Amino acid sequence: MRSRANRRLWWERAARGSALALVGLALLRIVLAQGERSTPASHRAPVVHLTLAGIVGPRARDSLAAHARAGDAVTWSGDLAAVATALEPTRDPAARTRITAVSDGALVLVDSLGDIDSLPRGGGVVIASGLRGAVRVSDGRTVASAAPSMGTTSGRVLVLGHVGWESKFTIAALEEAGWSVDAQLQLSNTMRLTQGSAGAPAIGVYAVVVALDTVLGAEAAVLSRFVRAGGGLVLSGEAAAAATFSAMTPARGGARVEGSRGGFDGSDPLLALPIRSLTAVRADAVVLERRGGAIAVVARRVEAGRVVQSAYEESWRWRMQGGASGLREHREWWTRLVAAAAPSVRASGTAASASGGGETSVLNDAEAAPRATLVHRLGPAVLHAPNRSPEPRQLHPWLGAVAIALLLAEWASRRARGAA
Amino acid sequence: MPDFVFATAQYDSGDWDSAPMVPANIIDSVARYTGIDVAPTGVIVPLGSRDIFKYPLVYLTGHLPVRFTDAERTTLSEYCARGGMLFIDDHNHDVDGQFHRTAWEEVARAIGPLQDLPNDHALYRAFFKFPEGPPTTSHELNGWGDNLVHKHLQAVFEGDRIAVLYSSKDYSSEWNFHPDNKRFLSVDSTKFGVNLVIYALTR
Repeated sequence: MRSRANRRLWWERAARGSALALVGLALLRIVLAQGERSTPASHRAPVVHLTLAGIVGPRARDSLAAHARAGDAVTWSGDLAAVATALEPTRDPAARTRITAVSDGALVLVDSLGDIDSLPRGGGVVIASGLRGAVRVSDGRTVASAAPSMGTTSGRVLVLGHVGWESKFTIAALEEAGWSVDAQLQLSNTMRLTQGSAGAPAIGVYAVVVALDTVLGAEAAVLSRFVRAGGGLVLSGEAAAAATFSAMTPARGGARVEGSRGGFDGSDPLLALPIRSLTAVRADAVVLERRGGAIAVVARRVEAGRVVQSAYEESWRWRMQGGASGLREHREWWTRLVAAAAPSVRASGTAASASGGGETSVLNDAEAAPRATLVHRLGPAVLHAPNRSPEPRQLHPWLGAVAIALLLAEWASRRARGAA
Repeated sequence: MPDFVFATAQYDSGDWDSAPMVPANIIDSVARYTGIDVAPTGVIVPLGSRDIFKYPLVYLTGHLPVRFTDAERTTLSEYCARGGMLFIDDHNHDVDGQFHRTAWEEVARAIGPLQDLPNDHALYRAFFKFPEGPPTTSHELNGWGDNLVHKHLQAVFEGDRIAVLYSSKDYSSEWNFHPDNKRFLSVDSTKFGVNLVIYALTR
């Protein structure tokens, strides 16, 4: 009997002790919670997790990013498609826009006027003109958008050469493409014909000089200064092999090789043109075009300017003797050459928003690659939502209930045995 | 390959080879007055063949009626659109002559209607200066043919460029002599031919 009374007494003491311990624990948590409230917000770290089925809008994303920067644990999960686009004005007078888009899936490109084009899985490049409003690129789930900027060429083109079909049709091709062209054409040792200005190549007046001939050797020093100051130089025909330009050329021009006997009947009209082999390409040069195994067009930067060297000769034959599209292809080819040498385009009228300033460009950049921006702002996706530990305040009622139950049981036990 | 080759058009109808000395004479003048690398001999190119596209300036003359074939008409239209220039000279030089009437009709059908070329056009100052417009020919001044001094040449334009130049002045007779005989002339009558070549090579 004595041992049973002792066990009961023991149980009552344990229950009372446990109840007091629980009350103490509850009081401790309350004290700690009050301490948390008094600490800075950055030390609290509440947890926010989003399970995304699609890209969140820029406002929501930026709001979450602000929370994350303030110290909150913001995470996200979900299988979001990566779609990104970039718009760049082409360096030609046609004021076109080069749209580059990438995605895991097929893409549709639209602007405010409607569909522009579509791209297969992986993406690609579309060159468009007459764009209105922002360009939106969508794979059906995710939309990336960017505002086009209008490119402006920074000057005229000066063609230097001698009187001949190559100079005539080069000028014609560039003018038809929209370039403003001046020309200085050597007619004899003492006579030069001038179309437009007779001024020397100068930055601010000319964007690009096209040199077609070696008779311009005396002007090599002027052209060198022009390029080093930021101008573009296209060397074609005999000029591409002229020793006077060797300090700037991306490669060394060699012997002339005649075009294919098949002439312009084949699928590649460039094969019919004579070519001047380009060798000893400099390490800093970039090959832009090849014909078979031979280097056909190569370019390099020379200080602030660019030099493009073309191996082709008598390109006018492409325009006159080429197939049905020879006229257009010759024009576009010359535009590409000049554009490759032209100084960078000055963009104007960039933002779709009228608010201007840095925030506008940030938003535009954000929409151009929404998934990348989301990762940049919130970090990469997590596989699972983080585990939540119960809030301290949620434990208090349970602690109190258990403590009261223990105290009641202890009180009932004492009353049952007749103790006070 | 030379920068310039003088090409004479050979067409199916008429007498395309009525002025055989003109090419040599113009070639001589171009070489004499300019530094252009000119081929020493001219070529004859069928008007309806693709070879015409190798020669962006082509000379066409004759006395007899001209009727282009479909191939010639199609080729000529494409040739001018790509940048070629056709110079037609009426070797007959008579009143409402057969060559004149038919050539005008054929040009209008293939490319477009001829219109007077202003006498201050760039053609007249492309190399030598001709402030009065097209130089007269001895055939005009002597009252031969239609007994007229034609004040203008005619042209069809592609944009602001001459695609077809037409002359009723009979330069084919004026220039149809051996180049060696230029030394007997007080004024070289082929100078205007140099302007034609320079204009075609630069515009």
